[in-house]
Amino acid sequence: MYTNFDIRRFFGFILIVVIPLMTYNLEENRWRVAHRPFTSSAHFLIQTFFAFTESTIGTVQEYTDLLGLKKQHEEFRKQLALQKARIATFESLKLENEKLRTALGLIQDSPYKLELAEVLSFDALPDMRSIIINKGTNHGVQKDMGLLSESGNVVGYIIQTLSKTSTALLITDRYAVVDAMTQRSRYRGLLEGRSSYTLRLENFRRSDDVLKGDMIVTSPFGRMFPKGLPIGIVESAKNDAFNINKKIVVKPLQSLNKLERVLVIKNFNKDS
Amino acid sequence: MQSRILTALIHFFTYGFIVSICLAAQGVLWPAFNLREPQLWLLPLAFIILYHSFWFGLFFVYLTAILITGFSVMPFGLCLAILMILFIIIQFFKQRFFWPEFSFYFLVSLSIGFLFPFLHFILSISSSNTPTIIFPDYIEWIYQPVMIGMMSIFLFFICRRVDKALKVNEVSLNR
Repeated sequence: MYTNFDIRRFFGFILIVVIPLMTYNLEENRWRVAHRPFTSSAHFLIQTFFAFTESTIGTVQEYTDLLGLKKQHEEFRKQLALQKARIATFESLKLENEKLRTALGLIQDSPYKLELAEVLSFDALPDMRSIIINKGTNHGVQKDMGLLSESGNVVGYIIQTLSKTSTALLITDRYAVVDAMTQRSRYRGLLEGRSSYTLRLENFRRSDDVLKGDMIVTSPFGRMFPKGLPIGIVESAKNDAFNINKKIVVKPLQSLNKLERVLVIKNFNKDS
Repeated sequence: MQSRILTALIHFFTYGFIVSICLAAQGVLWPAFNLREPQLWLLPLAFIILYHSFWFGLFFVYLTAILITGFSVMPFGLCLAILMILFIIIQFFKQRFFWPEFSFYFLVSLSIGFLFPFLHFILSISSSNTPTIIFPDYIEWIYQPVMIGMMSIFLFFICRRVDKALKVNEVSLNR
């Protein structure tokens, strides 16, 4: 009765058709735990690669620096005299700057604890926008913590943590969503990545007051970022094909393809 | 029998390590020199599918999909689906037009440079509300196959050496 049954073909069918179709339709979050051992070894490899690349670049840089050293020496001597005069001016400016910083409360009075992290690696696939940073649960980094650039702009959020490293989704990734609003008119919507250099602001009606050049900031209802942090500038705001909603394209305030360091907001996440 | 299985496992994970190195280089090495990253990890995969048995290739597709999840945020299911379609396409051409020289591997390498972003584009449209918009990026479409084609020369000889070191010389076409 079962003489035509071929076990190899059966397994082939399961492996080629059934399992890929099942995993394709499953929610990604269910798999993330299963990936953990592979992610750990991948992050270890990335750390090793990062250290190797840094040292190689450093060595090459030192060598090229040596070649140009003689020329630079003469130039530096001339500049030294000039710099000495400028230092005196900078000293007074420094004092003034410190006073202003204290007054503004940017550092001392900030209610948020920020952790500086180095970007180890970017996503391996061209369409995905994620980074791996050198801070993990050992440093108090947790899932869904927000990420800022060094200049304070929103750049992404943590999606997976390991002991020494974490994976963060950049706001430009097509799976990334941030609760945002317009700074001028206070209209709120969802900012979605498009895996390119732009973002898309959703849930706006045609009558909503959004104009080209408006600043987009984080909304007070988001769970990862405090309100009012800058994200991007409206590049275009037009009505859609059916004249019902607004099609808003937002440009991030800075390029996310060349991030070197980021700040993790450690004590804001509303869920934790 | 046991030594054959052991050799196959060593072989399997050696190639897994090569793919991991290629994937790590994607995110670290190329961006450090401000260059677009070519998808070099596709080359060992193509080599395995072409020059090894059907089952070895099939399991290696699974290993590659799992390894990618450590280096990218691409969903596992989407990745596995793309790689499985690539596997079927390469198997199709292998069964019909195969000749055991570098030129065939080179042509397959060029093709997968086109096919990977194309399949990603098609599948992301069918599975996501926010599909990829990489399709219009024609520079990427030219750059990837050219770089992958160039790098295939090096990867071909590296993979050949691995095969020789592990004494796997025959081109396996059996199913």
